[in-house]
Amino acid sequence: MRDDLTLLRDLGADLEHEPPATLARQRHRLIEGARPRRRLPLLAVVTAAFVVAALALVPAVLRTGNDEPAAAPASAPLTVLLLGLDGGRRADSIALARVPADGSPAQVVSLPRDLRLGARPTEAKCGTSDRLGAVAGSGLDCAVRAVQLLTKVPVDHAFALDFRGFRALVDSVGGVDVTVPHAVDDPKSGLRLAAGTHRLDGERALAYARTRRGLGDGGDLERIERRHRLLAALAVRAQERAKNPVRLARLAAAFAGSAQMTGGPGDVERIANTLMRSGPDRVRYSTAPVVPDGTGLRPASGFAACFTAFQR
Amino acid sequence: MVTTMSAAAPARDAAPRVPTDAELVRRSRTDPEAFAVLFDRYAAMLYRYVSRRLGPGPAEDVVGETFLVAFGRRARYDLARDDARPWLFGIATRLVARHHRDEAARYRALHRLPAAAEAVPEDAVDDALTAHAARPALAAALEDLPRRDRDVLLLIAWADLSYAEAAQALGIAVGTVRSRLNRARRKVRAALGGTDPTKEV
Repeated sequence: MRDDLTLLRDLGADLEHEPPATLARQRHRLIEGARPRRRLPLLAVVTAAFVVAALALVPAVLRTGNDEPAAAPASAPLTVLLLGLDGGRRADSIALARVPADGSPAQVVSLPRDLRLGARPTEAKCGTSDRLGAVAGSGLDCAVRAVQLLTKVPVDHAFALDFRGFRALVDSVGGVDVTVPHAVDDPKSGLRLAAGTHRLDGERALAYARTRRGLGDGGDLERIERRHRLLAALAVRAQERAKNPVRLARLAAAFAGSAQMTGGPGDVERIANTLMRSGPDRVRYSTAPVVPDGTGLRPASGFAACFTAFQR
Repeated sequence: MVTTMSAAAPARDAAPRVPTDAELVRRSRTDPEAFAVLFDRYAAMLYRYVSRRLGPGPAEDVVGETFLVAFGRRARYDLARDDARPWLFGIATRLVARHHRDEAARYRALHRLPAAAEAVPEDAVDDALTAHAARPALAAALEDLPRRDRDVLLLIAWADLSYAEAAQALGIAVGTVRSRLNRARRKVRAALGGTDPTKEV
């Protein structure tokens, strides 16, 4: 009788199949992305749109291409401050995200930018305003300090995206789709569009975000809504890109170059890996309760309770 | 060790040098597309191995998944290992485990099939006859093996990995590979001899 290993090899040879032509689909899956995967929900709440964009992009920031070892998911929950900056030194959208390490859903609480700070960072660079948006727009460390004073929550990481970063991102995802109800020709912003749906590159997406003429009533609120729609469109495109790892890595490189963040790429990757464990589509959104206070806002009852889950 | 190797072998640099697997993995960290070369190198090999264990349908999916998992872990790849096969076969083997029902059904079908009833040419060489007749017993033995032992046995017999490579693939010591292989082969030989004491029928 022949050797058992030889008989086993013969059996293996009998069972073997030659790679079919369709195996190329698996290469495609790796390189081009043809894989149905979890999608982010499209949010109706416009103020959450930036957060969605940020959360869709956090997983994209996987590596910037150096040789440091990949970060393992965090073993403890992470608190991440997310900022959307407008053109000047002001934060338009401010949100605290709690990313649990155990795979339970992430939680995001938005803070209105017009919140007045009872206590504010004293450094000169953080400015003299008592508005959260103004202080948070003065720099990531000012933002972290202000939010910590306001919420008593220790912040692990902060990350911010401004319009330049936005433009770079739009380009890195291959453009965003917007629909305009009628033709637009605004020499000031350089925006010229026929009525209908267009895929805009970064430059034109920025013009679309900035134009005050030709779209809507030209008011600030309308413009903010339009920006939120843009961010939602960006989130959709980023999520599409996130379907395959190679494009995702390329997007990550673009993003790492255009967003401000505390810590290094390793930290961001750790956040991303931790977040991916719970899934970007399993995020609970809320806004911290506030009441009017003069021309601004102040925390209402229940404000502190919003953040109890954030305490270690 | 990639750099020292190329420096030590300048003669090979005369022709366009084929990058090692480790070089490709390193390159893919800045240029993700470089990972596709690893796919081109090993997808067929992995497919053949997985198709033996799971059949053609699941094999395609497992191979695709293997490269997705590997890509996600490329930052942690040990660049001192020029040959990525143990790494890839290790990932594929763990993914095969998720299809253990497919695998068991495959072996079961083999040993339930009346292999002897198939026409075997009268003048077939003894070896072929033996191999053919042994199939049901072999398949039954494979089905009955604990997964850990079967993984070792098949990485060596079907994926042609060395003991050291199988150890790398499974993240175990070479000594463990040896003991698992010996145990697995004892059972296979017992099954072939028809005196397998572990078999409950």
